[in-house]
Amino acid sequence: MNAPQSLSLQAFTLLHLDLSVEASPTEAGLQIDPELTSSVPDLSNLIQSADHPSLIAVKIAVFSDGRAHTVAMRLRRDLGFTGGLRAVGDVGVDHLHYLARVGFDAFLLRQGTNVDDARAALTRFPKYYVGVQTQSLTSA
Amino acid sequence: MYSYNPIDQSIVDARVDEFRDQVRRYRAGEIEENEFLQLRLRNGLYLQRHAYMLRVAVPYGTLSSDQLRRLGHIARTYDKGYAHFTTRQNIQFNWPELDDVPDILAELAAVQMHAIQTSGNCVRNTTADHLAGVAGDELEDPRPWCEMIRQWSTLNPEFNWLPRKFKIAVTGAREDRAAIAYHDIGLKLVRHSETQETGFEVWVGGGLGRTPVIGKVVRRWLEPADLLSYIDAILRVYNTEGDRKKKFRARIKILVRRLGVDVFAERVEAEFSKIKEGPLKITAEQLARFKAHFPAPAYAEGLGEKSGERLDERLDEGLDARQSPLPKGADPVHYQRWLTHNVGAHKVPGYAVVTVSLKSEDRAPGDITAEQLGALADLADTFSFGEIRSTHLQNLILPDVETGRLGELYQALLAHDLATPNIGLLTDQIACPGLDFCNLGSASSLSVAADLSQRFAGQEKLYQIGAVSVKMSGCVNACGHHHAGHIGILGVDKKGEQAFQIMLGGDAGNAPSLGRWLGPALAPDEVAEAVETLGDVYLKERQAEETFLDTVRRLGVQPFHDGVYGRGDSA
Repeated sequence: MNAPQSLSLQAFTLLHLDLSVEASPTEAGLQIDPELTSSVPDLSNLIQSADHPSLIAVKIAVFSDGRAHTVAMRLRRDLGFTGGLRAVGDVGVDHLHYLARVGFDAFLLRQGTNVDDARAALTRFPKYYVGVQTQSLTSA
Repeated sequence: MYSYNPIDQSIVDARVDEFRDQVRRYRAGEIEENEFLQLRLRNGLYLQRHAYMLRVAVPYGTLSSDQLRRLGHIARTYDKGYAHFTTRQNIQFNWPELDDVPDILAELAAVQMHAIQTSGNCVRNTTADHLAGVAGDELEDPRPWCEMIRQWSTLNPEFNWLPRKFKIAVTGAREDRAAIAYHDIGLKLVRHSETQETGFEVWVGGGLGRTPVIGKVVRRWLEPADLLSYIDAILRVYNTEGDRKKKFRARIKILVRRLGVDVFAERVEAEFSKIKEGPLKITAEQLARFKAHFPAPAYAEGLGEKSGERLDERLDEGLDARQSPLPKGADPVHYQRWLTHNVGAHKVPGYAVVTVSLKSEDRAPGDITAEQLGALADLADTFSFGEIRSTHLQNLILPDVETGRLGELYQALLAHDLATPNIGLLTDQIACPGLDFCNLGSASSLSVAADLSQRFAGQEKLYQIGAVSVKMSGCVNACGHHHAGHIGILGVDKKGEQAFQIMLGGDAGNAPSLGRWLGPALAPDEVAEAVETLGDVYLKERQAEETFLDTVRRLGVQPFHDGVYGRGDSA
């Protein structure tokens, strides 16, 4: 259903949400394309068929497609996935805090991204709304 | 009104900082054009025909005098000395420079305002009944709920990249003044038939645009504590299942139609059941905290002549010199017209709601100068506890005016060209900016609006025709809501020539209806005369107390068609 993509990982920079972690870009065990799989039952089947991977990559075909965000919410909240969740594809500086707040903990930044700008983007907002409560990114 | 706590302020401040950084990186060539477009739209910044346009959010149409003053300052400092109120209670500046926009946003943040998500495919500013808190027919004030929706939607991580834009409106009154049937989600506060508790009736999938649709009720009753969870569930279904391939099929109304409202409702319920008891549930404590932000102002007691007397009853009879003596030197006819049309009932005896008309011969509907913004801020301080409302009909409201001071206020408004006595009448039209400003415009809606204003200004016939809503769009995208006007006017491009089509019988009230085409398109200079003819047909055909809309609904389009095109001409 979701053939692993042949991303040239060297061209990208992997940024971990915990900015102190120097993560190395390795292929994720399971790659999910929200275009093909986004419902909870389908996501659940996929995880089971992949023998409960410890790392899932979700493809972001284009930054303006928000389906990956709901997929991440469903993996984390509805299916209780606690492994690594990586955003891959069209991932740039200005999308990171949204992705981080739906449950991604690592981002394969698109080519040419300035990592300092990316780090700044993840620390700019002291708090965010969750409904009418507020939360900081690190405690999310 | 709602006032920011330090966290609210820090979020808005950080957003300004983020946009400043985005402009810097865009100027340095580090953000591509298409991506910057999406980022600036989510900060209200469009690139229009001649210049950038900045749309600033007026959350649920509530403004303080300080905010209004600041908007005037921005118009004077960064624009050409005026601004424009929109059909969704927001305000737009038509001529800002890109490099000034971060500074403008900082000016706004300093008075607890922002332009977050006033454009782009995300949840937009939530609109509400402009008489919230002062209407006599109100079950519950919608503003605390609107503020909760504002916070939930602001930088919402999951719903910032939806298939298409998403608009929510809330009303707490018996009469729908928020057009909930024409929103992606419409929320109506209702009383439970058995428990008498207040909760929500939820409408979904309404909208105008190219495919006008009256929304459908997706849930008759929703516990108020579940409001955010339930709308979150609606957005989740839409985010994954809405059409992302074709822009004109991407609104939620198309998804609801494709699935059918029952299947759509089932999917929403499935999502809702998973998150109902989660962090979006509104606690009694939170509700109390939000409600505390909207106390009634310190009304003077005993202003009503008789305890319990309803002002609307007196207004129905026409306010006369007993309540509001004729100001010295005032034109008695003009003043009486202003009292009749621009002054409305208030739930508190001794107070009235004053609508400030932004429709007159010499301005585009909704336009206001920097000087008027400043003057109105002062008048709000003097006459209305420092509060101003914007309406989706592109006017402003002073919500809490003592009836005994109406004459004084009238004269002050008159001095600033803000007392045109035409609220609810034919010249109180709404219009989009059309070809004159907008990239999408096909025809100059503003020119036709000006023709109409000039034709009827001060004319007795305007008052004989009485209540009519005229709504005008300069292209099929329908930002001027022409389908929902008693008279709808649509500008089109016919082989390079501007032309206008007329619709009749649309309405956005409690019994929403879409207009029907009157006949072939007219040349721009024929529209005002045709509208007058529609008024003449109504005056001839009406029965007893019928309004224009009543007569259209009783007789259909035909007699109006015959009046405009002649009897032999077929549509």
